Amino acid sequence: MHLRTPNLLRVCALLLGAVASLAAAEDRVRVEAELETTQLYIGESVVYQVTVHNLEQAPAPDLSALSKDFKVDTLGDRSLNSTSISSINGRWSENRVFGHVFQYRLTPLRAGKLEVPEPVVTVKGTAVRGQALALEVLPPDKQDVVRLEIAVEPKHIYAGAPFKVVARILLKPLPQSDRNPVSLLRPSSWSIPWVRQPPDELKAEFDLNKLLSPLLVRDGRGFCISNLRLSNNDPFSFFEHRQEAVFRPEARREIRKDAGGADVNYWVYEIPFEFTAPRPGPFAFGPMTLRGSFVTGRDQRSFLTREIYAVAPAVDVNVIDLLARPAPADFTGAIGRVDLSAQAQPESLRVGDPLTLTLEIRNGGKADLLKLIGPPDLSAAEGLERDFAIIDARPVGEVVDGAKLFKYALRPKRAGVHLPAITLSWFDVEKESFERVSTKPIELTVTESAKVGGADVYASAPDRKESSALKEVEGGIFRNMTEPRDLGDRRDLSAYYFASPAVLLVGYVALSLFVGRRRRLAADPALQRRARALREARRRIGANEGPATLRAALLGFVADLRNLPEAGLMPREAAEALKAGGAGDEARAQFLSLLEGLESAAYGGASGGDLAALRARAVELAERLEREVKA
Amino acid sequence: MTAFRTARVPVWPLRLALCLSLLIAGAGMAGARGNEAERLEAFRHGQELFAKAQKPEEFMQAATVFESILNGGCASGAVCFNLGNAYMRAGRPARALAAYRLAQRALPRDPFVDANLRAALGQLPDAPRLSREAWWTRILFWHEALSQDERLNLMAGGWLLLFGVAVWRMLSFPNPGRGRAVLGRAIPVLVLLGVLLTASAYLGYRDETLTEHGVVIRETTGRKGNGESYAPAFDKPLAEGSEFVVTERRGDWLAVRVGDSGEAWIPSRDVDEY
Repeated sequence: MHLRTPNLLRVCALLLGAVASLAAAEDRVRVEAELETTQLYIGESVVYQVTVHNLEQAPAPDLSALSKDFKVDTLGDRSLNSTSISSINGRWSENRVFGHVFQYRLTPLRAGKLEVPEPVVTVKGTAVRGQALALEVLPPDKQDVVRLEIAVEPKHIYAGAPFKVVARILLKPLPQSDRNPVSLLRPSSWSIPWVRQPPDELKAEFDLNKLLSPLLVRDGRGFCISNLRLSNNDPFSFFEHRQEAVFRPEARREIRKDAGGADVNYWVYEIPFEFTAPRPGPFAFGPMTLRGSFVTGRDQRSFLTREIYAVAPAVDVNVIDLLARPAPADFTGAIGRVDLSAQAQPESLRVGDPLTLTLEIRNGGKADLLKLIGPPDLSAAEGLERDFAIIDARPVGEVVDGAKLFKYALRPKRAGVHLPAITLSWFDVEKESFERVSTKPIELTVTESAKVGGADVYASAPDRKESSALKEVEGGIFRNMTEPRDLGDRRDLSAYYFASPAVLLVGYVALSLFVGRRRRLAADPALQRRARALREARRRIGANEGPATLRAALLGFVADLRNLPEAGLMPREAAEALKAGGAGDEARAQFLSLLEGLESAAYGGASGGDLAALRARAVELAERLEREVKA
Repeated sequence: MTAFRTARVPVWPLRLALCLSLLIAGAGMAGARGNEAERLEAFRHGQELFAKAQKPEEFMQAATVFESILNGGCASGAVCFNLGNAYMRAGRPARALAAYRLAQRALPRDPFVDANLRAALGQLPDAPRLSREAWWTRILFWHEALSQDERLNLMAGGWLLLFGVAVWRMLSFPNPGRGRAVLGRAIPVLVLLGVLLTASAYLGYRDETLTEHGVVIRETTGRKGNGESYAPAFDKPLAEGSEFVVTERRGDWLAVRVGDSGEAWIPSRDVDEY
């Protein structure tokens, strides 16, 4: 469908108006800040939303002023830009809305009446400010009915080694009753921040479903943990808005002092979470909060309850770099309770034959820890280097069925040797000390071989050209490329390459046009004559001959120009041919005059000076005629 | 009457074009030579560190040096391969996987690269992989066996051959005859070859230059949006070594397509892109 011209003009005007309105809209940029709630307890978070209105591409607001009182986490952002064009009764109208929403989670760092400072958005160098908001942060209740704790085990935590973070609730016993206090209460809300996302780079070693499923109860007596909900397939699916899951951990008793200093046998509910830190450094857990109704007293007929909010402050876990400790020489990164075993294949062989020694290291199936273990140094084993050639001293290990395997290729140097015990140091996280573990010596049956000597063994390093042998090597080949010529820089010249067919096509077309023209010229005697006319005329005029030859040269020039027979061409005919070719009257008159002058000179005699002048005139005239006469 | 000779096609335009091409190429090489010495020095330094390394962190030092060469704009297959080796020895198979993938682009037929790539994949058995089989690889059967440079050179060579044959036909066989007919039949074949080679080069360009790939270097949760507040996109976290294609980028978050599993948003701090 084609737009009619008036409609087209209207659309153009509308687009121009849109551009103008865009510029105008940016002048009215407005920043609006909102808080999800205006009151919360310390330890809780609130969603903070900043909306930038009337700006097509809004930069993120500057919230640096908030860092004094709040921990700010980004939740994401989305555009509100929309455009609609409508035509009602032939009248076009357009509605353009610009905006951008930025969402953050604010966690207050202190209690009190806080001010959320105004967000600042910088637009073209000008700061546009939103409004400051008030937020009341309530301190936790002073009470000893509910206690909340975050405990970390063990005391010293090493990078790569697992550790436990225990979320713990202690409830004061019911007055004059030994019943489990949870069994009387409506579910309270227990916020454990690391349930949804482990802090920073920590790796959760637990499966949330497996950990919490046994604690799930259907009677509604327990704790709702971090808003986990029930769904059909996944009990803890986060994205189905179904019934909140209620958990009741196994209770135990523990004596603690209450607020008055008396020993009280508290009910304890705890959930252990296991993590591994991939790197040393501090990691924060918490704060953890609990909110709900708890029994605080009793009258004659019933228990008295009140709303309590409890907070366990955040706990900093400092992960230590194990490698920074002085370690035995044979420590290669094994952590945990390590078992070491060795296998040789084959056990009967001849001197020089290959032997695969497999070292198997187990540490209780902690796959992440297994990855950290490097290959034990065989040369440290007594007599092994003396009796065997070690072909690859540092093989790359592989994790198979919860064990790390290192496969060494050896060749016995002499008959009657055996594989000695191989020792490995490992770090016991519980004892925080290095322990040693050894394999048993392996008896071999090594017989003499007349052909292979010890020196030959060392020459068996893999050759890069033997690609068929390389494919059979397991675990990778770490022979780096070292030749400087390998360091070829691959600059991206794709654009030039993709342009090359077009360039070649253009070149071909240009060449074919050129060749075609040359061929047409070659095939057309008239064009050939004309192309050579001036050169030939110059040659003949320049020959030191008399006036008659000069005259013939001029007539021959015209004959070549106009493709006429030179023999018998008369001056008048030549002049007519020149006229037909487009030569001007003045040039033709000069031509005839020059021919007459030459004829007179031929019959009347002419001096050498006259002839030279006539030659110069003839060349000049020939050049002029060549320019004026069309092909 | 003036005598005339048969016209000959002059060769000076071709000579001029050749001289200009050589001059431009020479100038480019002279400019590139400045950085070459620095790169070579860094390359040797990385080799030394690698050769002396015993512990993972020492291999990481070597990896840092190789990374610096790549960050300096040098896309060398050898550097990528050595970088992958350093990461493997440092116990970082996911990072090694990304480096080997890059190395394989430059050195697609190198058995060492292939062996080590398989070793890295073997250490990451649970990670989803990108499907690298496409229907057109059956037609462009040579595609996977060539580096992008080779594909581009082959494409240019194909078109140059076509150009040469067409020019030869034009200059040497101006009149109908057997030679002209034979070359005339060769031209459509060469055009088809040129189109196929161009398709291979473009698909390689699209896959290696226009498309961003990546590897998850530490287990992370794929989410339905670009923020921690969004629900998980998959029923379990993305394992270390999961390979993906980047489809969008917003701040520190990447929208990625993970094999046949679908799309998700993941934080860029948990991935290596290449």
